Amino acid sequence: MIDFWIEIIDQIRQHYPELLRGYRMTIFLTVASMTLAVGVGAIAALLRTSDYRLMRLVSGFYVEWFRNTPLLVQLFFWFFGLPKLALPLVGRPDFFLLSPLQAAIIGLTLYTGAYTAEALRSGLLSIDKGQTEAARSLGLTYMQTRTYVIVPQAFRVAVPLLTSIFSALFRNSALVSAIGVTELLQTADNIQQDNFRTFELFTVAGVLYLSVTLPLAWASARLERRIARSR
Amino acid sequence: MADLWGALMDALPGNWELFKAWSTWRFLLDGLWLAVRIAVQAIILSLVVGVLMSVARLAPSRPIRWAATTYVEVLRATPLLLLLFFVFFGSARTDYGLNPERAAVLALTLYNSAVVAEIMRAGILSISKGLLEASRALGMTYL
Repeated sequence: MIDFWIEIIDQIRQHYPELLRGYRMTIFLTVASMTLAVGVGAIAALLRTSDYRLMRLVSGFYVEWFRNTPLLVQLFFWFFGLPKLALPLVGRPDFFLLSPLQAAIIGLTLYTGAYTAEALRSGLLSIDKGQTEAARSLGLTYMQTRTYVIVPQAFRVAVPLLTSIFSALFRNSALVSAIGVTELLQTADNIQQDNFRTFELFTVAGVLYLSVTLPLAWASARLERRIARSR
Repeated sequence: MADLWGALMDALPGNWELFKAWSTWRFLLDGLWLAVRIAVQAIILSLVVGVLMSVARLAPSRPIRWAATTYVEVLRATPLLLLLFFVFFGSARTDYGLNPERAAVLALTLYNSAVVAEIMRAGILSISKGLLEASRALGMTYL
């Protein structure tokens, strides 16, 4: 057991630059995808609860499709599948040939966007219909009602859910190692295949993942309690 | 019917010739069967472990509660792929090397049992304390 910890310290000392670079990459992927996913999710959620049937249908299709296929399949599709499709949309034939990083961000964004849409939708639906009616009768337009009255309140309800989605995204970002983005897990795996310090390196990677996900879990639980109390 | 299917494939962008051959489907179905097999094993095991863990998290004994809480919180907060790598490559370095299928079942069980435990715990907590007190008063033991 002591040997194990000595070995871990030794591995950290030898490999911390790579591991930190991987850690940074994982954080970058998560933050970038989450930012985009909130945008995508917000649009999808607004469409899903809109008064127009076609919009509801399109958004529902997007959400169900992306929520119910494995993320790994989606990533493979964006990275390996899309360039082979040879869509005649743009002049350049290699337009859809994405770099691993681009494919990773697109894949994570669209996958997480579907979950974000569901979280925001539950927020939107939790707002009493009387609010809409009151705002409309005060003379606000449909769009004004949504942007100034409903969305801010809905967002508040959705925040704990968004926190857990963020945490899930952080964990899911490990999957993009399969399309060749050198994030944390990929880095640990590369080093491990070199020197066979399997347990040690994956333990270090695991602790680095936990360093983000555990505080997030606590924050999410606290937020949930606070919002439950303020109701 | 087959003609319609073929026409549909020709109409789609990309090349779908491959999927007109049964051999392709045979391999894909093999894969699907493996996925179902792994999933069923993992679901059963994680239900069992998850229920045990959720009970342990609410146990009166503090060490048991802490151990279960650590198990649940840590495994829930770890990427599944990391667990898979850990179990598969890790076990290969010991005398107890697992084949890929076993490793997948074990890693999925570890992760999902933690998730199940959380859900079960919420379920148990939602049942009122009065019910517990009543049944204890009627002479039932804790378990």
